[in-house]
Amino acid sequence: MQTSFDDELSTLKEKILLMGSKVEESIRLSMKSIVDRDSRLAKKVIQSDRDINDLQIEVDEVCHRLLALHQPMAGDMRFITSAMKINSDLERQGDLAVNIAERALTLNEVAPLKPFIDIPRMAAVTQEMVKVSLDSLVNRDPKMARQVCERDDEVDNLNDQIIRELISYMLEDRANIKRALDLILVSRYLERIADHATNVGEDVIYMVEGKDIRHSRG
Amino acid sequence: MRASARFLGTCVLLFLFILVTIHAYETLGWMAIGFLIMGLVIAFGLAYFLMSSPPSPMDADLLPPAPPVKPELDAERDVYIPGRNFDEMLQRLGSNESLINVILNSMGEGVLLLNQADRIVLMNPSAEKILGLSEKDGLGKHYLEIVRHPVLADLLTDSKKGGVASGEIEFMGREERTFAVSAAAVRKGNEPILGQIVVLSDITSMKRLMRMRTDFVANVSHELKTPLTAILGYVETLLEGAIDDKKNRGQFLKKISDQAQRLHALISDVLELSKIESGMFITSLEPMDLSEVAAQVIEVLKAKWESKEITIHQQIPAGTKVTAHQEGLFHVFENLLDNAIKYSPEKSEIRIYSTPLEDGRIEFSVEDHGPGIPLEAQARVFERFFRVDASRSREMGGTGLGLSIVKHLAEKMRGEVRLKSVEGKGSTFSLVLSALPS
Repeated sequence: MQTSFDDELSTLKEKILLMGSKVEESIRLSMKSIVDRDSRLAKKVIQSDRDINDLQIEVDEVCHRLLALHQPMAGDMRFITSAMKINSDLERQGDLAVNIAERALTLNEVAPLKPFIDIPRMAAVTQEMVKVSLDSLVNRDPKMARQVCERDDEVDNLNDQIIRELISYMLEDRANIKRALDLILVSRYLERIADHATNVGEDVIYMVEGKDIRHSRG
Repeated sequence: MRASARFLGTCVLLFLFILVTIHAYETLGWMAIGFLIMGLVIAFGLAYFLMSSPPSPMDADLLPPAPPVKPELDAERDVYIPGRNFDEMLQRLGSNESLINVILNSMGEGVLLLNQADRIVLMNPSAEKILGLSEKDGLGKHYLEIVRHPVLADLLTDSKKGGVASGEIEFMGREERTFAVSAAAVRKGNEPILGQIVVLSDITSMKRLMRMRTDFVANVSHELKTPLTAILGYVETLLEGAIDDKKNRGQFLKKISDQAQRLHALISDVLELSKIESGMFITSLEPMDLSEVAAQVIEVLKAKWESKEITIHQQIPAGTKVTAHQEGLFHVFENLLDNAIKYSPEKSEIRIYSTPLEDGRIEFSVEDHGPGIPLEAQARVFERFFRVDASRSREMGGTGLGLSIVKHLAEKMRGEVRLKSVEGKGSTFSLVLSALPS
């Protein structure tokens, strides 16, 4: 019985990692689609979202089975409940990558508003946060998870700065409004992805240390 | 062949022996016959020795197979002399397993072996290096814990069905890296799959080169198209009636001629760049007098600097010798001085001078008092089609390839180009070449 429990726990971890890998790739491709003005990448991201959604359902099923059949305790219990929360965070990140890809499709149809400087920087920080949050899950490392939480402010600041800059473009010329709004949305989606990465970090800390650090920061 | 020779030899000897025996008996009696028998034994021995000397190649088919060649060892140092054959290598290495280990450890490609549960059971040092892991760090872990990439997951799912699946994976990080990955099922005959093998090779630099090529082609096409569009526009206007407009047609033709010249300059530069790159332009280096080349270039560009009333100070001491290629050096000089003249204000000064460097090389420089180059653009001015200010360069009639040609020529002459510039004050472009004692 114990072996099947261990096997199921490994399966759960692997499925979460596979989902994480797909989410990371979707975020990367959606941003590349904007920066390189390559709409094929955006379409690929939109298509691959179905895999992420399927995985979400599979992960939930494994979690329910584990809870119902094995009544796990302590560390295992925390792992399973964290996995359920991480599961929905990852799925949301996947959806946000799709949102970015949809903006890319619109933006790539028209002339670029301006050279990208801050948005790729913000995307790089966000992607790094997603990566480190998943690494902290793989290595069960609360130190790495805390690094993710600390970087959230950096992304928030970049988001504010990008919005300020884009508003100035909108004030300058009404013809810029549509494109600037699309870019503001992209920035907002990135900021949301970073928030979800922070949630994953918090879940990893809870999973390893049993400490709930949500809402108590700062 | 060898057997028949031996039989013939034996017959001849026997015949001689009988003749000699009869003659000896008639003259010397029975004692001599005893000596003769001894002589006969010696003769047979000698005959056998002669016949068994190395066979001719034609005898090869009759020879027994050659004994296996033993590994050649230097008796004193016991050092292996590189392989005669595969068996010998195996023998030297002890067993199959160690040979495979030696091969895996020497490979540039990263190799991962996964078991049926997708866990890593073998990882060579290159794979550890590529994935940034410390030794044996990945063993026993699920591959997704080590390489979290959906493309790899897809390839492994595909290869489980049999066959080889290959693709490319890109990693984000401080710098984007691309790997060619192939995954294959490990199985013996028709038995169930034992595991999977993954081979990773870094193709980042190849990808970068491909991107550079694509960018270059895109740039060239754009640069070629611009003047062509202008030419077509003016020609069309002329054909539609402007040809009869005596006042303006001259101006249109002048514009067509300007754009055609720009096209010509661009095509010449592209051809020249490719010639330099292929190594056909500079074939040999020889001692050159720097001051002589400078004087020639100044003379060639005389009309240009005189029209802007620029004063040129040539301060290279006569007899300063460098190792260079005549046309190459002339070309670099011409490009640098031409740029300096283009960007210098009227009635300004341009200084040409040489400085011996501590490492024994000579730096020759062209200093102008033009607008200078902003710091952030300085590293990029030698790139193809890079322009500090696109509209200004177009006005000056540059192709965007001049400094790129200078850089390539300098490298082919085993030298280098340098740039010092302060925005608003001017620029100094220098070429550093090996010196020769004057």
